[in-house]
Amino acid sequence: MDVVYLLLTLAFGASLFALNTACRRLEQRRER
Amino acid sequence: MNDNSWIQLALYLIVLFALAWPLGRWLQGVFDGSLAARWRWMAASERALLRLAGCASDEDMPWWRYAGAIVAFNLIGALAVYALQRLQFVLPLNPADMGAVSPDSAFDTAVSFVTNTDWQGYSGESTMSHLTQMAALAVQNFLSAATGIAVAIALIRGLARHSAQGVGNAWLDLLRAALWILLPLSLVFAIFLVSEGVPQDFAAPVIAHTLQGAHAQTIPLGPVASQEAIKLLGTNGGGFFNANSAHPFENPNGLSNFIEMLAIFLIPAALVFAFGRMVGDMRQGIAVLTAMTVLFVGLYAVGVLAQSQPNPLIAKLGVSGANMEGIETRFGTVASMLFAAVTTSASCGAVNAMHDSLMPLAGFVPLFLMQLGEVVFGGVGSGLYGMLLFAVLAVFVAGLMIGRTPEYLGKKIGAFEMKMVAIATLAVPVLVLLGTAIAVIAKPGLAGLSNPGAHGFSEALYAFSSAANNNGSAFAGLSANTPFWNVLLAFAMWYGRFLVIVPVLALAGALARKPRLAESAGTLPTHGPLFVILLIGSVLLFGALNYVPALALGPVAEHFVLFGAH
Repeated sequence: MDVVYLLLTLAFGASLFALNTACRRLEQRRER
Repeated sequence: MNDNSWIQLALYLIVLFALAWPLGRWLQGVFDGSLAARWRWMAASERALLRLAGCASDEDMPWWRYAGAIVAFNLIGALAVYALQRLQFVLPLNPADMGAVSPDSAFDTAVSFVTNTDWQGYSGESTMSHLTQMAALAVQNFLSAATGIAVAIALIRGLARHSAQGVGNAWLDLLRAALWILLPLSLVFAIFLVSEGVPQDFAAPVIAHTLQGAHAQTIPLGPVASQEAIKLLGTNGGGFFNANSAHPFENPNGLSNFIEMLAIFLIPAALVFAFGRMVGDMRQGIAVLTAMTVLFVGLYAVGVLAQSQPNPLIAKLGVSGANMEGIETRFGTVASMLFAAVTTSASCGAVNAMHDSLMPLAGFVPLFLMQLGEVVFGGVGSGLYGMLLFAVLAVFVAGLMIGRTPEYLGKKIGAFEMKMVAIATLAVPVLVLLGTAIAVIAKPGLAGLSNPGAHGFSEALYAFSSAANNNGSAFAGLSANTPFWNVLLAFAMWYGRFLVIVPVLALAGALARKPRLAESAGTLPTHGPLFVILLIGSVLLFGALNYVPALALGPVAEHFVLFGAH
């Protein structure tokens, strides 16, 4: 079970990095 | 409401503002670097610690690097807390021989403490070793509070700067928040708590023989005072003991109760003063603080009125007076409702009374305060950045009404900024309402509810309101230490925290890049009574639109059932 929760935690983190990138792209698109 | 309730409230607010004012000045000095410039030893120790942590530079970061650093920092924190709980049985400082925490509970607790929620599905004194309490939970109490402060400061910089690329350095802000604010305050507060009788040791539990003779009672001890101090100052709320601040070892007397309540609001209130100073117009800070205070006093009054009435079921048995079920007799109704309002206005979640036992409409108050987004003073940092989101929302609504481009503090609010505000303000209600809906239709969710009907629904609604808003208090009737509840609540806690933080930092970055516009005749003043009313209205309307249907099914329905039937 530890592996499952480790992967879940990493997925939580990865989704936020994806959100970070998406917000940044949105901002860049607005600037262009 | 009697004189006692007003006197306690007035005394509380006077002492709070008197302490928060100088602390606000200190916060400004810490984060604008003026204190480090004046005291060289401060700057030298910061540089040394940053170098020790492998951080080569303390230069400003663009918002997306700042957000990346915050997310990475908290992700590593969650993994560390999980590992410490799972391995505590082979680690030192475990005199009571605690076994490994179950995987789902360890996961839930790791997310809970990293997100400043401190929701506890477990009972601390019978689950966690001293090392886990100190190195995992108490450390995260500091780091999660530092995260909140850092994000709030980044947003203030976004508003205060103009035509700038960066919002500050995340590592330096985290370090400064922990080193110059949270650690010194916690040290002083922990020593005060020890003086009042709160334990601070590494002892094994004491076995006491009761007067009945036959029963041996196990009395857990440990490093309670040090955890208690940051639990309140960092608006974390996770107790050393299951009974939290209702336990005499966490909160021994009326004085400790008063100081604990002050500790919860101290940094959030000081941050508002710091905001006023850092944007160069203290009237802006006072306006935000006024809105917070009006909301707080109003909802506290509703809570005291509701809790002061007798429970008709108990009154029928010939017992007179206010409902005292779940209330500590050491504190009484007023101090318990004040604590309940303070802890749920902030993102603290410490409790000195069992919210599950409050009268239905008194239980509505902490529930609604959390659902407003905990912006009434709010969590350390999170309260201020949450309220500033509402301020932007308020000027946007006002701009729509009068047909002008909205501005806040001389910054034009455009489409990108409003998209970030929308994500940050709508993410939490979605998590609360969807989570509650899943819990009350799924069998494993229903299995955790200990009451049928409206009160059971309130338990589920409270759990998700508490988790997604990173409060951590519970309607005590819920049995949430199951894989279903642990995973679902962890989801709500994680995204309830960071689906706000990332857009807030994006907003900070976008605002920092904008030039500052001069005030004109068409600018809506954001320091006067009109704006305060607009801000209060935005917060209340937002809460009402999102949650009234759910509240009607919970505490409101329970109130009518209780008083209508009897």
